[in-house]
Amino acid sequence: MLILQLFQGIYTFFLNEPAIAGGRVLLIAVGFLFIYLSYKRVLEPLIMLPLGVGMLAVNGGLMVFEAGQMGNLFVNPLAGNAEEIMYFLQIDFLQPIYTFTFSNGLIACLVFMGIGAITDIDILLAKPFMSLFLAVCAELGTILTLPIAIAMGLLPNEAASIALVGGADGPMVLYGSIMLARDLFVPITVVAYVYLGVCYAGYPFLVKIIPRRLRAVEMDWRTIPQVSPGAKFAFAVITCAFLCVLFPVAAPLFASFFVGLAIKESGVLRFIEFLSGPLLYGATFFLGFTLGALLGVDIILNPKVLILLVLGVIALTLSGLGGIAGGLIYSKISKEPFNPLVGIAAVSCVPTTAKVAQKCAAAVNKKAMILPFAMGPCVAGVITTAIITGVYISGFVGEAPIFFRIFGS
Amino acid sequence: MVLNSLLFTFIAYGIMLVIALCVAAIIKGIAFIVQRGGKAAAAGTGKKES
Repeated sequence: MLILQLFQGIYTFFLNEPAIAGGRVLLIAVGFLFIYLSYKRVLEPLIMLPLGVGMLAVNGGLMVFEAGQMGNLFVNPLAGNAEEIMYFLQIDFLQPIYTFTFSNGLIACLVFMGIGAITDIDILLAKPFMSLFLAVCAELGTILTLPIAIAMGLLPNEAASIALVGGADGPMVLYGSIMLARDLFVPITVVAYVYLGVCYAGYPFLVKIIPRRLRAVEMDWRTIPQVSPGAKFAFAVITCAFLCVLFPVAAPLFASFFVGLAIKESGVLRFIEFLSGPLLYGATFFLGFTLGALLGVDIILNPKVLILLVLGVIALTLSGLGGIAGGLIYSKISKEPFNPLVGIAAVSCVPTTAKVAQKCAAAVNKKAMILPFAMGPCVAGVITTAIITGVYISGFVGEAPIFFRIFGS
Repeated sequence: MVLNSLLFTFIAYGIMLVIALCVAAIIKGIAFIVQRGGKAAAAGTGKKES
């Protein structure tokens, strides 16, 4: 046993209770699985690869500290008061990232700045009603998952937090869950990112409910009107101001996304390169790695995690169905040929769902080029999800949450 | 509680719908102003040339 103490990661397996030791083994195995699936491009490698490495490292690297306490040298999310935080800032190597970028939602805002700087809003501005109509339909999961989650035993703020998975925006889920249900933000964000990665594989099966002849409809992208950079710049600035005035609680998210857009459209090349390169990918890397390091065994021992796993699937499936229904309705009312597959892109998850729409259209008709049209609802989905996030945060947190003021506690 | 939350989600959906319409109106308004600005600029250039 003495020699085992030299290898503390193994030694702590013998000190742990069987359930905890088993949980550690399971999480290490899941970490390996995430890494493998990322390597094979089944899951999004940008986020899931560092997440997988973080997961297996934190669950393997458990050690014994003074007074027989067990812990790791990665991060301690439970550090509460200033003295504790100062202590762990000097001990845990990811603690500065967690304390200064996770606990205040900054990491989500940094990712959003980068996303804004790479987002193309031409179709949204050329066809605003089509884009926003489909995006509103594709929020079905974000809406209906809330009462379903409450029926399954979650608290209203926790239910609102997991319902945001239906909006299919990772940074938005992270920001929303930090605001709404801080205790559950790690499992909720991980559920969101894992499922968003799986969307690319799952939605092609869901869209098969659309008749094949409708999936094959060709759309003429040459009919899309040109939008001037000035109009796009004005849209970014005015809409940012409008949404910030309406929802100050989600203003950091709006400001981050629209400042990225404004910089892209203003053509300030140095800033565009910075936001869309080092900032976006640096933030995404540390987001994935720190999330992985937060996925300790105590997370899976929480009985609410199983409910969150089920609700994540429900939210994304309902949003997908809402988007498909919107696509079918719009194809009926549109005067021009319209492929209802564009509706699935409104679920958002820029640009994954737009790529799914194009892939599914091309599978039945090689000439069908719907990607340019799909990008409009895809971006509109970010805006509608941000609005819902603002409504939910206003509704469930703060001094006097609006939900409880309307319906009582 | 479930019924209350369902009602709340309907309210939330309505709010989102109205705001989405406002965003669409902002886009249309910007397009209109830009188009008018473009026409005015073109007319100004035409007058200069004549």
